[in-house]
Amino acid sequence: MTNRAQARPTSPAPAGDLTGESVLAALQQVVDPELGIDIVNLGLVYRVATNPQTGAVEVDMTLTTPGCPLSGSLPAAAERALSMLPGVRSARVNLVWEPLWDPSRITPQGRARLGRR
Amino acid sequence: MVLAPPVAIGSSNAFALPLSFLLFGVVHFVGLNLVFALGLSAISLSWFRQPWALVSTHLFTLGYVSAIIMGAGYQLVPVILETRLWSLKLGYWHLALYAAGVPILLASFWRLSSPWLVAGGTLVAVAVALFLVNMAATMRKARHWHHSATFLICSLVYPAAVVTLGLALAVNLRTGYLGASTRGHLVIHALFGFGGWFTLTIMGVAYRLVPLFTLSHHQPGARTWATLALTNAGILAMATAAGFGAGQRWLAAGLAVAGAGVAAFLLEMHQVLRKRVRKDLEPGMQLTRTAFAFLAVTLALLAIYLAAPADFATPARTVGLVYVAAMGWVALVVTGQMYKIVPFLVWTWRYAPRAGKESVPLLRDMVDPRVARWAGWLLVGGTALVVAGLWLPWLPLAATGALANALGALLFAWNMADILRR
Repeated sequence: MTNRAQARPTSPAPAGDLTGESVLAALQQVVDPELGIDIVNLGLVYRVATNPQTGAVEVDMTLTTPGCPLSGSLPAAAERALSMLPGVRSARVNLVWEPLWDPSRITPQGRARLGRR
Repeated sequence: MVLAPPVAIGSSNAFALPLSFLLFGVVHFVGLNLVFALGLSAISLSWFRQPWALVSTHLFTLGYVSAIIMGAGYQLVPVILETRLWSLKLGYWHLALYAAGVPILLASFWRLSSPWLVAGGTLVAVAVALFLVNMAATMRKARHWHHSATFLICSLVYPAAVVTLGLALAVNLRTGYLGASTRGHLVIHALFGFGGWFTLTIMGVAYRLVPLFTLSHHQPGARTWATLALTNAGILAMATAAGFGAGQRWLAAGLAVAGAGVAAFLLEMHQVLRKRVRKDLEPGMQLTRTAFAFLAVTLALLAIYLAAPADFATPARTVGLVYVAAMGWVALVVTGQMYKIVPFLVWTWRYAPRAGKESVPLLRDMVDPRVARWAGWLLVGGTALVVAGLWLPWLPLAATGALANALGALLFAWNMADILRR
């Protein structure tokens, strides 16, 4: 069985419960070092798919712009965060550019951290 | 564990190359401001064939700005174009020749010694040629094109011309073979350096990085091409006028065309900053925004300089004009972006492998904001005082500004060194 989750921030899930929510909670530990906001609240995570039977996780994420200086670092950090999640045996992070990210994808919490008036 | 395919970029052991250029630049920035402060009274009386002026100018152009642009280029051009650097080895050859050539050149300017001047100039010319070849080959491998890259291609043509003219002028210091055309060659050398190499590069990078760093809803569009075409046309028109010894009127016409290009750039940056999501600008971006204002001031002063009677163009005012372009526009942008580039390089080197596993610092945690703000105030205030002091003219005011800039440069260097320790 595969669970798919829309990318919305969530509270941490119990250990061993591999769900879309637990994956998003893990990805919230990955922070863009330039902006100081995690990749979920920044709206960079587009799709999460989990398979609790095989322990596989697949995430589609983007960056704020193609050719972003962090394009080598953030997907790798996301993969490391997923690999530490209980129950995960394989994690894959796909970097996608469709649709292109724009600032309207930042969550209200993310905007608050950016100091938007 | 299945790893995501690496999208980026330079190889992981490549950080030492850009960092070496950046540190080379910081050291020369401090040297520049100390030399300028010490030599100010001599420079304000005469800048032509004047050791203090020659050393200050080349500390700025070769020691600081070119070193930073080239170092940042090794890091950013592959990133922007989503490819890899063509040759890291060639980059290290470039570094070795450049680091040897610039001090020789500076020492020879001090003594106006032609054989060593030509030797140093040749080393620098070969080093820059290696950089240009590396960048051109990297650009050829680009996966995706971006209008920033078109600016960078244009900006790469200019240093070749600047260096060639520089070598010709170095030989001329001894032989005088250029005769009456020396000043024309000098104007073209300066125009291509400041306008073509520095300004077009900064504009191209700004179109990419300012929306990125400020998270702006406004993405630069059609006006970027107007900027590119008009600025290039204006620079070439002014260079042609200077080369053929045409009058001030032709220079002013070229300036008007380039000015229209710069105005289009400033308008675009205004839109980007106005529509930014990130309201609180960090010290580096504040300096960059201030530099945009100094660019407008530079154009205004240049227009006054060209429109005024010939006796208005005293050596002090000429130096003031160059200073506002150099320290107000170019240096403030470069210094501002160093607060982004250096922490990013160190973070990527030291902390990126741990991100996702443990808590790692943010880029802004790596910069001391209090020192950065003090450095910024000193550099902005100091530049304004130097320019005002040279144009009024009132030398004590300019000397106070030069001292403030020297202190600002030292604080900036301290902050950069501190980033390396974090």
